[in-house]
Amino acid sequence: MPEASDLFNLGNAAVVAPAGHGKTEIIAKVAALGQRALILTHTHAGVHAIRSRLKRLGIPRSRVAVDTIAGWSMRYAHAFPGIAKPPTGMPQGAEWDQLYRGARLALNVAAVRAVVAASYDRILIDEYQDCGSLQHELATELARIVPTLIFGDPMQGIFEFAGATLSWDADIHPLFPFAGTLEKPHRWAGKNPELGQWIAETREKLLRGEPIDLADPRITFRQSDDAFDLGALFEGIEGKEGSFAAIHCHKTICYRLAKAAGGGYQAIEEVAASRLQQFANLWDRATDGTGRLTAIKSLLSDSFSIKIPADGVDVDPADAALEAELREIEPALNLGNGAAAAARIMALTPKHSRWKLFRRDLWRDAERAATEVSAGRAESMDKATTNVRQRVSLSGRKLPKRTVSTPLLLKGNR
Amino acid sequence: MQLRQIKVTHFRGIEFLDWKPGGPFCCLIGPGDSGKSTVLDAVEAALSSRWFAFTEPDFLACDTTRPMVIEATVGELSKALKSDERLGLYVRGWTSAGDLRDEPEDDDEPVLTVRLTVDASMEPVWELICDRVDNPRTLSNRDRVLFGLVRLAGEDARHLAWGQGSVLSRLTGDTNEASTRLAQAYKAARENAKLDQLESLAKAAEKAERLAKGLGAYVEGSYEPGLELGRSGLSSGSIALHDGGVPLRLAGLGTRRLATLAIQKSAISEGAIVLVDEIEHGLEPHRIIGAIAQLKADQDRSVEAGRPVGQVLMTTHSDVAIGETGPERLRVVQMTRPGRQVAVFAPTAPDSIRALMRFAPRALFARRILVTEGNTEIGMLLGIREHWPARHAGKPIEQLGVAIADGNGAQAPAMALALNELGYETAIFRDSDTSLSPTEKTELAAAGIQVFAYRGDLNTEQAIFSAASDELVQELLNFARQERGDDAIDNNIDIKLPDLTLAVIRATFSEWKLFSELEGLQLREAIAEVAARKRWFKDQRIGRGLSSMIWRIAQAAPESSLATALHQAEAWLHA
Repeated sequence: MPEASDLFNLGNAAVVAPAGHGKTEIIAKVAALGQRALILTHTHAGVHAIRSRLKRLGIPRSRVAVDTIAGWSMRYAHAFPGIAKPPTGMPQGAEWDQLYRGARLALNVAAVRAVVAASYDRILIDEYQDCGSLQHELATELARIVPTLIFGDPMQGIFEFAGATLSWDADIHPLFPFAGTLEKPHRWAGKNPELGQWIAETREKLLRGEPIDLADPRITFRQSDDAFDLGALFEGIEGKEGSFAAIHCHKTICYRLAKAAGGGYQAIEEVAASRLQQFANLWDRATDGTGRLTAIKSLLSDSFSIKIPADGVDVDPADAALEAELREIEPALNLGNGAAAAARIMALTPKHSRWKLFRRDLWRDAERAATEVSAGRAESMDKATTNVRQRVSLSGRKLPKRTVSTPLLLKGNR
Repeated sequence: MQLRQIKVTHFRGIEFLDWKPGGPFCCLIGPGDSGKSTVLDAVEAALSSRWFAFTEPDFLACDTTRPMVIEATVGELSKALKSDERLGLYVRGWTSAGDLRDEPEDDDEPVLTVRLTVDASMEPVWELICDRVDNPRTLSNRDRVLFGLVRLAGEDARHLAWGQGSVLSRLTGDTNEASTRLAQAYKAARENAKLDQLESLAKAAEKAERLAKGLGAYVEGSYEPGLELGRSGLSSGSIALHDGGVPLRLAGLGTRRLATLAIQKSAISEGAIVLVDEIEHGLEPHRIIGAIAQLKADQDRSVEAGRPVGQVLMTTHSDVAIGETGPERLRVVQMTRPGRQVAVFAPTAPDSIRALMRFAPRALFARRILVTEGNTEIGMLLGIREHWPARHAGKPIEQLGVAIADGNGAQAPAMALALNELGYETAIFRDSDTSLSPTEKTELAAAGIQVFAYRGDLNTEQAIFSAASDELVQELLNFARQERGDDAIDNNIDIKLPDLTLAVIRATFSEWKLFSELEGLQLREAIAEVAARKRWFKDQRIGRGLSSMIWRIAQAAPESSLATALHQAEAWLHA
């Protein structure tokens, strides 16, 4: 198992890093050995994770630059637009290819290579299995300028559908010779070593082409014919510490499961944040308080699971007071741009004991956007949501303790 | 770092300048008030980390209605400058042909352009020029310190003490130890400070001594840290370099300057841009040569080792200095008036300038240069110029910034052309020993270089003798005998004029015609022919000795070709 100091002395090389095997740690440690390293990854969540690890290890920020491949490409392509010809604004669809191609072209220019060489003494690329062929070309070019270590796991590819179909043997290892595999499942050490052990074993099996054995005594297998069998979500977790993930392959079913779970599980938002965008559009099109209320109510029904009180049960007086307060605020949606009222409504609603928020990030972002508009920092809800999204993508999100989501969103999203 | 280009607008005495130094070592010369020092000032203002308090006189003609703008483009960038967390994404391209483009292409060298703007508010703004970004990146003094600019100003003793931010403190690394010791030292009284026992300070002093010696500073004892209490009380600034117990601040100007330069330069590892105004200040000729040779050798060593070379930009008024820098490094600053447009010229034909630097280096500090062809002529003109001031309100030509230069014979036309290219007003004074080639004639005419020569294709000897009265011919002969010996002169004439006996030759010239078949004019021609062929007067000192006679000859024969040629030269030199 390779040590940080060994890896630092290698030129270009590839390290195979199964999930939870201390990859982030070793990346941070290798980066800290030089004067200034560049760490590239795919997602903002990844950037965030690496930054917090660097912070925890006490590595000064100035020594390591961390960015997404997309972010780095944007930076360089826009710094040298004559050669890179980057798409204007945020790239959409095929424009991403244009961006990576452009950044790659910029590296043909001697002066740009000189800038890269002066900026980093080491480049580390995380989650290499998620690289598309254009990103791979870019990495290859970078590796010609600065020694580059890549980390990845052929078993963890989540972007095959988006063109990440590099073959490790045919495409990657000729340029980045195999330098070893991380062998210790650090993530579960001390917390749940059995799970770590099981994951490591299972990975090996899958590598060999064998199926997962559900009869393994370490697995609790519970068959259910109903996708909305909530028992599957809650049975056996009572009194247990740690984090829980429920996985379903379909995004919309995940949202519905979260709703059905009445706040017991949170859904995760995509970075694209289409639901937030939809709210913003509806809000901006509304011309009066009624239209605005409609926008809020629609968002509310997608974010909250509302429990109807059982017959004969008294309404909680606090809830009644809250509902009254909300009704009082409502007319203010007609005042000015109405955003101040919206922000207040959004701040109050989660306090209702029977309204269970299951898309917390979505609702909070909407509240933040409304605050932006009411404070005059954004002229429209659309602009405000863009600002909020940018801030979130820079700071990252905290994963809820209990999550129901798709593999893609759980692993991090673009 | 190396300055690739500097553009100056409306700064001090310069309305406009656009200069590409084109090398790691440039020695700026030129006539007084041509703006040499202002060029260095401009480079310093743009790239130094110092804050400048600008005032009205910093604007041309104190006119603050228009901003002053200085744009400095710097290449050979250090790693720190090129880093993308600093200024790397703002790099521009310097083409192999020496042109700037905003976005680098192909193999362009990465360069950065700093623009300093000062308007009537007197608030300086430093920013990077990069057309690719919407908002210019402003530069703090922390950014500018990365450009590694060092200016040698003689009177600055700051660098000879361990003050905050001083170069010595950087050489030392850490002065904390020193300040603790200082506090104790203050109590224990001055003489007990024992600063020389602080290893870090002693080492820095030792290093400073080595560097200073390298550039030619005289070291009396050895450099060591010593306590010097100033007005500011006790601080690390109170520790100053001492040489054998004497503060280095009190050393001779030259030594102080060399030590300062050596220390400053050493603190910048990635190629400093060193500005030196009047390198010769306080230095004897051999130390000027020594210092320049050392600066050149430093650069050569860096080239060999593949290290950043840095750049030396200096001004001088010393012919010794330019003799050592050599013609390739010379840059001539010329200012046109009244527009105050400044241009800097580099020699395109260093060989012609090399000859000039050997024979008349001082001429390069003039505004107008009369290139003469031979030793007789230069001696003659140097002598005769003493007679001119009386006719020009007492002003000698030197006051007008005019010089007479030795053109080393046939090299004169090439030299005049080279000087003309360097922006000097140039003319040639020559005789017709050999005639100019058609190419030379065309080139001189194209360059507008006047050629003063004697009417009728005469050589100098012919021009002199043919215009001289009998008495003056006699004086010339006596002078020649005095210089060359009686026998030599008389024998030369005897062979040329066989019908004259030696006795007659030795008698007075006015009687020669009684014994010769030749007339007075023919006799004069014969003497001139012998004088030229036997090189009686081909010597600068002899030419100068002749000049009082020549002056009288020309005065007595104002229509002669001698008088006419001299008059033309006089008119041009005094114009």
